[in-house]
Amino acid sequence: MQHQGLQQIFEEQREQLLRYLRAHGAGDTAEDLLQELWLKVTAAPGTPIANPPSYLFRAATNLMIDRRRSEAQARRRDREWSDVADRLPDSAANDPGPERRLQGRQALAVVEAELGKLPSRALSIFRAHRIEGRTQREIAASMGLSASTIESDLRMVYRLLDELRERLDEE
Amino acid sequence: MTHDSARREAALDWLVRTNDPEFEGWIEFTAWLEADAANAEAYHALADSELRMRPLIEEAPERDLPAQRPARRGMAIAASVAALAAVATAIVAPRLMPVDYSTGPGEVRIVSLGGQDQLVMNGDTRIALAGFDHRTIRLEQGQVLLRLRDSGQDKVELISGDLKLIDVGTVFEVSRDGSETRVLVSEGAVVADPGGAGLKLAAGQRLDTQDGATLIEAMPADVSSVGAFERGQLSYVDEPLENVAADLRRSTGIDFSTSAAIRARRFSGTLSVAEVKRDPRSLEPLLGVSLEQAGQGWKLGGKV
Repeated sequence: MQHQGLQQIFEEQREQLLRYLRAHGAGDTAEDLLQELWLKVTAAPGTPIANPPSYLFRAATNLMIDRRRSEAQARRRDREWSDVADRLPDSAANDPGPERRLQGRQALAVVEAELGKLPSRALSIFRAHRIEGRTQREIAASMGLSASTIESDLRMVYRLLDELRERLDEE
Repeated sequence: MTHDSARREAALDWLVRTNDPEFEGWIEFTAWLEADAANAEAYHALADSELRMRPLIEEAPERDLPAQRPARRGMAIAASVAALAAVATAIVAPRLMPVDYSTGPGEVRIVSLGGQDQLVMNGDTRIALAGFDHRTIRLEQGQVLLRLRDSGQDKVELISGDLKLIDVGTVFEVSRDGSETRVLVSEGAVVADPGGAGLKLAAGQRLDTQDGATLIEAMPADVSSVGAFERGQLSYVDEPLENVAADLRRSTGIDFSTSAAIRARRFSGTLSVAEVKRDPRSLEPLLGVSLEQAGQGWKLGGKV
């Protein structure tokens, strides 16, 4: 699609996109982010876009995921910081206590155990969907499964990856 | 089901739906996000996990995945578990297993910590990078400069003997000699001993301590030398020691002098300015001479 056509749709969707960015927590930066979104969209190579509004919302989603990721990481730093800054010099909390960190090998064992829980079908569906980029409908048709089976398998993988991330972060 | 876990379940549903390239329910999704700011929080936490952990599955060898062999499901599952274990070793292990780096005397080495974060090693330094994504640095010996400017990255933790430091987005230098550790902060701040004393070291402060110390204290410092080693190297080929001493005087500000007996002896090699500045006696093995304190300075002379 030419920029001209996309721009028209961008203008039509402007308010809804702003609302979407704000719903993702963009706050006061929503206008700036919308501008950034437009620059990103126009910088992308001109492959045909089947559904331009959806394409714009998808790009907005990716933008917000990137944005919130770096904000969360900055917050984690600050939190560490205030944890120690708030502490009184003679507080009992200053006692280091026993070393509880998981060692590398234990963490590796956690990863192996967690990933080993994934049924092979869920794994195949996840790969086809998130790595090869096939739609859920295509996967359902090629594997002879219902849409809800595809969804529940994907949920299982997302949930497991989230639990795995939590455990590694604790480490 | 608690409120939070109900929210997480809803967020999982939305992630499954929105990740489908054919998803079109953006208005409905907006409404769910708008209903409560915690909804976006839950959605993004899951999206982040998927993004960070996906490589574990992505790198699994395709042939071991059983999608096309439903008739042999039992074997296929076993194969897939084995493949994942292998991939955990190949993908996660490198991110968890410590990696050692060392430099010879006078050698400066830059190690990227990902993004814009950099670690610069001075000469004669040994470190191990550990922890998930190698954000834990064990300083075994020597001197490192940390330039942590990438706010998008997780914090860095540095361990020197029994002293632990965490960064708060900063530039700082840590030296370890024997059981002594010196920290110099030139930008931002560092927290020393976060699980214990939680001492804040701000820009322009230093900490000198020793393994087993029960008290740690921040002191004001001249931080202009932070990272000087990165620039400061003196290289010689067959240079009279008299000239080397003169160069050292100029670049370290320490009053080095030479005895008549060794003045004409010659030296070939590389000296790190900061190393000499920190520990003038480190010159002894390098130059092959003994050092004696002479007033405010040092006299190079005699034999070793």
